[in-house]
Amino acid sequence: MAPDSEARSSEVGSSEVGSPTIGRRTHPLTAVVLGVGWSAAAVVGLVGSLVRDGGLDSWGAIGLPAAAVGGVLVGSAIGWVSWWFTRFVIDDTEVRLDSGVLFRRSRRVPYERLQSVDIVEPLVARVFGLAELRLDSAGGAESRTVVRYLQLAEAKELRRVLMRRAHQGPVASGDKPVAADAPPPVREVVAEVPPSRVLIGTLLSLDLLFAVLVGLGAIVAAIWFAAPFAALGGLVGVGFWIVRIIATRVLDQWGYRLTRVEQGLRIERGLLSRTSETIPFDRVQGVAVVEPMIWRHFGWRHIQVDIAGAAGAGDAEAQDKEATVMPITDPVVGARVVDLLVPGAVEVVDDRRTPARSGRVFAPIGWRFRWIGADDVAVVSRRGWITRRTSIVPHRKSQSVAVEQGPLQRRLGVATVSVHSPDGPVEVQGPHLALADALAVAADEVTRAGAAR
Amino acid sequence: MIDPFDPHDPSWTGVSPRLATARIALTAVWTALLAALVAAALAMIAAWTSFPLWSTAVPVVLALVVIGVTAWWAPRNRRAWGYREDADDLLVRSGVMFRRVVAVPYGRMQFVDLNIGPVARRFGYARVSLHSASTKTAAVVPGVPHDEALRLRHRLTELGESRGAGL
Repeated sequence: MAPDSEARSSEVGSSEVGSPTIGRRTHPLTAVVLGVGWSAAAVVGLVGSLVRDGGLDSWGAIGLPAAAVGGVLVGSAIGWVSWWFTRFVIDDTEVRLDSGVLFRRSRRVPYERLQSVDIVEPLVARVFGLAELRLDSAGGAESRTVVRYLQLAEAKELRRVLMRRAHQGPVASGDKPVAADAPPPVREVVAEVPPSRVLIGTLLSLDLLFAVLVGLGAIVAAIWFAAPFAALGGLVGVGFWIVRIIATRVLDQWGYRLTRVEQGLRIERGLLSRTSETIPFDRVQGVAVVEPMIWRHFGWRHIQVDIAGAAGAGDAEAQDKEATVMPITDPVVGARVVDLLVPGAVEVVDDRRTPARSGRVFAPIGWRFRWIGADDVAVVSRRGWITRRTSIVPHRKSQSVAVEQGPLQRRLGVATVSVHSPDGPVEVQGPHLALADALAVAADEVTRAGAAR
Repeated sequence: MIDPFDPHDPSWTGVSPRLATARIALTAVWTALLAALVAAALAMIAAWTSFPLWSTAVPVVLALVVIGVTAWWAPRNRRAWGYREDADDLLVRSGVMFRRVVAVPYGRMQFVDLNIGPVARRFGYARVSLHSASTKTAAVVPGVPHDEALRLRHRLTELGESRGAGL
């Protein structure tokens, strides 16, 4: 593939691709990677059914390797066909991906609609030095375009070109090649999270402790009722739960590195499958600093971000993962990350309003930890006594402001003020403030937001 | 701080009284129909069994209560709705028991919806809803007179375009 890859890289850099091109194919090993992937799925399925049927018999001993080899062969053949019919074009105004054997599908992504470009190296592809390119445009789960697979270096080069074009708008035909006049990319490592920190953080996380407590409860119940076998089933379940919590976090966040690139922050993470995502600065709608109870004593927190158009894809766990910028960090680095995401924002503002005395009845413990306030940059609110959550929304990104008052609140002379941001982990809210305070916060935010736009 | 819920504040535009009329009429028709069906069924049962005939009065009384409550609630709720076009924001207020006022900057509007159902068309009003990038915005004004709704939508779209601040 040497001469071909030469032609390829020149194509990426030049703007001659604007002329009607048939497009080019991804890396030919894509077929094998897809084949191995399917084979692995077949083996896992077979092992699962064997375990259910009660152990490995002679049929299974033959069937397993057969399934593995057959899966690779058949999968590779199917993968080769699908690879042969897949082409992609990168020209002056858009990215286009044509795929499908019987049902042809052609997707166009104009550069100005491109929200982010991520590189993912799934385990199998990583073995072959390949990676997939994910192009996200705003608009729900359907809006992801995946180009698989490319050589890692090529994928990185493509991402650089695409990101640059996405932030510059369409490139006029006849322009100088984008890659040539580009200044050397800015790369500054903001933070690195050692795996040990991730592991300790996970061990001290609340959901893991909860799982352990449930496990202990099951053991105590088993001893109390003298029914060890009944408890065993529950323990196995709890055990899987615990292993899953530790494994997914440690595998996902292994070698976590946050770097600053030209347009945003880049996250690189993963032990088996490596992921490299970029959070563009101009897409950040708000930041949340989350401090769970035990972590708080060590000053640890994790930082999440609201990205416009990111919500609505995947389940709650996947969304949580996508929103995380820093899985675990200390206050100094945390403050730096917050400052990078929302320049000038601080976690604790000076001008704060706390719940009214009469409103404390709604949160007998929690009221002590709640406040909402604003400075010149952002509106900030904090709540939570088990897990403390500080939400920061910059004035220039706030969507709308509401004051709400239910019948009980009205009787007590309190009201709740909220500053709305796109759906995500960030929620700025001042619950049960004195009505005058709530109205003042709202009026203040309306003025500041108007001035900041 | 002025009270944004003050019902006599002239800077707020109210919604059409027909909203209340339509709601009462709609409730009356449906509950009457339902009560009549249940009463008829009860009468039939009473005719064939020893079930007491006076039980047919129960659905009728219940329907009257429901219609009465609606007749009391609908005008009050109607009066609570209002909107105000400020220099930079559209303000929408609502609710008697659960009061809410929301301020949406024109530049943050993603799109404006105009909904007219069959009953609304008959009574000549429409529902105008504004959407920002946040689903929590929920700025909806029901019962805007038809011509006013068209004007409002046009004005909002215009303002949204001229002040569009993107995301």
